[in-house]
Amino acid sequence: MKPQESFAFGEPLVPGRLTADAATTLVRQGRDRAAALRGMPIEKILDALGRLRPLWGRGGAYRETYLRARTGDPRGAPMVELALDRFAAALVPALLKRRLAAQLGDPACLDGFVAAGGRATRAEPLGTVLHVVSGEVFVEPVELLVASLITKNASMMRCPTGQEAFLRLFQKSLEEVAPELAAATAVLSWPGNNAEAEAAVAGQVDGIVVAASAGAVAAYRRLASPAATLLELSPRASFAVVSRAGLTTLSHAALARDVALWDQLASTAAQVVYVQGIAEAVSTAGGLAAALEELEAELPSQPGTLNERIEIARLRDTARFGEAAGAAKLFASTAQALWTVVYEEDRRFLPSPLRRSVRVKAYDSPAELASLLAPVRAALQTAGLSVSGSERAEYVDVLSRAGVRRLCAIGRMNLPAIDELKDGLMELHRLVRWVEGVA
Amino acid sequence: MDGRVEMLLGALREVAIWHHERNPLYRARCEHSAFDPSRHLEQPDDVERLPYVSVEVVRRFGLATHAAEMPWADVPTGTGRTLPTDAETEARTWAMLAALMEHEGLVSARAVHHVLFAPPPGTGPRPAGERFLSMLAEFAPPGAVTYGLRESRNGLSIDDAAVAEALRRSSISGEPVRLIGFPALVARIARALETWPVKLGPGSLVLTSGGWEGPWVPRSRVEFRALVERSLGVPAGRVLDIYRLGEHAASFVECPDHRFHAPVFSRVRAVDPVTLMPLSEGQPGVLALLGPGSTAMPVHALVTTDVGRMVECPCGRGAPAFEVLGRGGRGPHRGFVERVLELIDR
Repeated sequence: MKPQESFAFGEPLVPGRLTADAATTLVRQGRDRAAALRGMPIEKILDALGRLRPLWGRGGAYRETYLRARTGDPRGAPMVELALDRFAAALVPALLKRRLAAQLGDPACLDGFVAAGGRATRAEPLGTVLHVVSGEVFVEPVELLVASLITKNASMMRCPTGQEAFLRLFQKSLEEVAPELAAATAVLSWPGNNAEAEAAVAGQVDGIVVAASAGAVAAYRRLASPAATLLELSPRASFAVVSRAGLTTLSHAALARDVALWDQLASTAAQVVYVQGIAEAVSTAGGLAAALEELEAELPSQPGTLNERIEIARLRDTARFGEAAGAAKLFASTAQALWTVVYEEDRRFLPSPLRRSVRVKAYDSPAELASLLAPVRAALQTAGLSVSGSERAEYVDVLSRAGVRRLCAIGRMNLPAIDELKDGLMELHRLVRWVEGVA
Repeated sequence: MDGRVEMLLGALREVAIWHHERNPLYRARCEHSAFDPSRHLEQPDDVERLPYVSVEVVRRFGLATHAAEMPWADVPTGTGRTLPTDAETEARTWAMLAALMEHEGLVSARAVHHVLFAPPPGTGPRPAGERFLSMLAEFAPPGAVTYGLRESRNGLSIDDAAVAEALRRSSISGEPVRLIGFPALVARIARALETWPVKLGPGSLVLTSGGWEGPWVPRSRVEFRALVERSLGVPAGRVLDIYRLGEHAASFVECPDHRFHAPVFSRVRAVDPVTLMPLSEGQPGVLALLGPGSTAMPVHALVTTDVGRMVECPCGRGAPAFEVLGRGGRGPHRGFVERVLELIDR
């Protein structure tokens, strides 16, 4: 982001290296803005966010500006449109209210004490919250900003590389419909070697949301003040499960979307598909490959970075030789697309190189599935299921105990509902401080 | 056909047939690409049809060509894996290296003090990397040899004191030094001597080979050479890196302008890792190496995960030039891949 275009809490950001003093000032300004937001009724905040919807929906002025300004590969445009559709669709006051209710109970608790069962509770904003987001999916940083706003927090967003345009446009659109909300946001850039500013910000804010690498999570744990609340959204991996009985209702097209949406860069995307039975797994791999090829017409894959392409080549090369040795079967796009499906005899849970590459493996029983997932328990996120009605309870129980944080039907893995938890965490709950009073 | 091209084509055909006849996995790879080396390597352009084997596959599957008529051995790599080798591969590796060193004027008849970041020869098999470093010490007679690594109860340790003492002694006596080792270890000693630098005698040479990772390694090769020049008094033109993979027999020596050149018995390309299409000059890709050096493994057409690019070089050598930019693959943004793999490895 060009410094002269940066705004922090309603004021233009002075260009130049962020100093510790400037960072301290910003944190203090953030607290003042949070104090102002605290006095704003939650319904008014939700209505203001709702006014963003026409600006970011199809044909909206800011959406069109962003689409013209984005510099990514043009083949990525349909996926970007899809992401913007979902983003805009979530900006409905009633849906935002539903999201608040799912995690905080009565959203009115953000405005004052709410009595229930002889007690009264109130949700106080933390104050100034720092967001450190890797931004693999470009709307994610803004979704976290929205979470911050609907809990009446001021937000400092450390701008992920490559996301400046979208964040700045979002800030500008917010200024247009609700300047008081825009004034509670600051989008900042500081390079990795500005340890002074990083420590000053991280050590003084009231909350830190880290949705980035495990290294970043560990770093901010060290930098955060003991009084700050930390919301850690570590990188995770997801997978799909298809039982023998579930094969009859499996939609390969839906499974392909579980792999391919957001180019597999969201933690919810399936990196592995476990299928009950070896022959069934090989057959599913073939069906999934055909579906991924068909999906290219609607949502073309992007070329990926050199490092990503190296990893995909690694997967394909080892699969080719595995095929020669009878231990694998490779299905790969022969055109420009990158999709890759590998059936592997090796049943261990292994991550894929992403960009629509997926490992298909066999399993025999839910118990075996549990033991295969045990080594990666701490990194699991979503399990998409295609199982029969009579099996469902067992699979849900086994996978819940195995460490999965979200269970859904195949086809929904990358499309969580607005009120679903994030990584199994009540992120809105973590962005407030509860006060208990007497009714 | 240019005689040199004809020789390379013939050598590649010979080694491809060797592996095709003896290595079932390589034969299956060729069949997958509808390639028969006995029929499909007739013209110079045919080398582009050679099916590439990736270094990943070599490391995962071994791919040794165990020929009844060629005794072979497994050499440890020092990373828990082994690499197969045989007498013919060893001979070719040596011959190619010797030709390059001769061509680059790096063979000396004058005795030098070898300071070698390797342990003294012991009783066990030496890892491949150590063997190569020791080979580099064969190109000048040893006046003295100092080993920079020693065996201890906990494995190998760096003998900083011995190396520093050796360098100081040589800087006083003026005898030329050949300092040979991984860039990380050379950078370490250079940093240690930065406050009290030495000036090694004329004719001294620093030869590095191996990875460029490590806490002591400067951010760029230019900075590395500047560090060595400051601390050891060896001018940048005499600080040369050698690019090689343990899996591929050929080595590539930096020219005085610090580019690598593909010698007549090799071809090097920067290619797209997925399509293997050659990239234009200057465009980064993965390095693909062609060379007939190994009878122990079918690595005569090897695609690496090292990122590099073809470049022009002002040195005047006719051979195609390239730069090595670093290891490719998983980047820091693939945080969950690292996280999952870390969990699996526990």
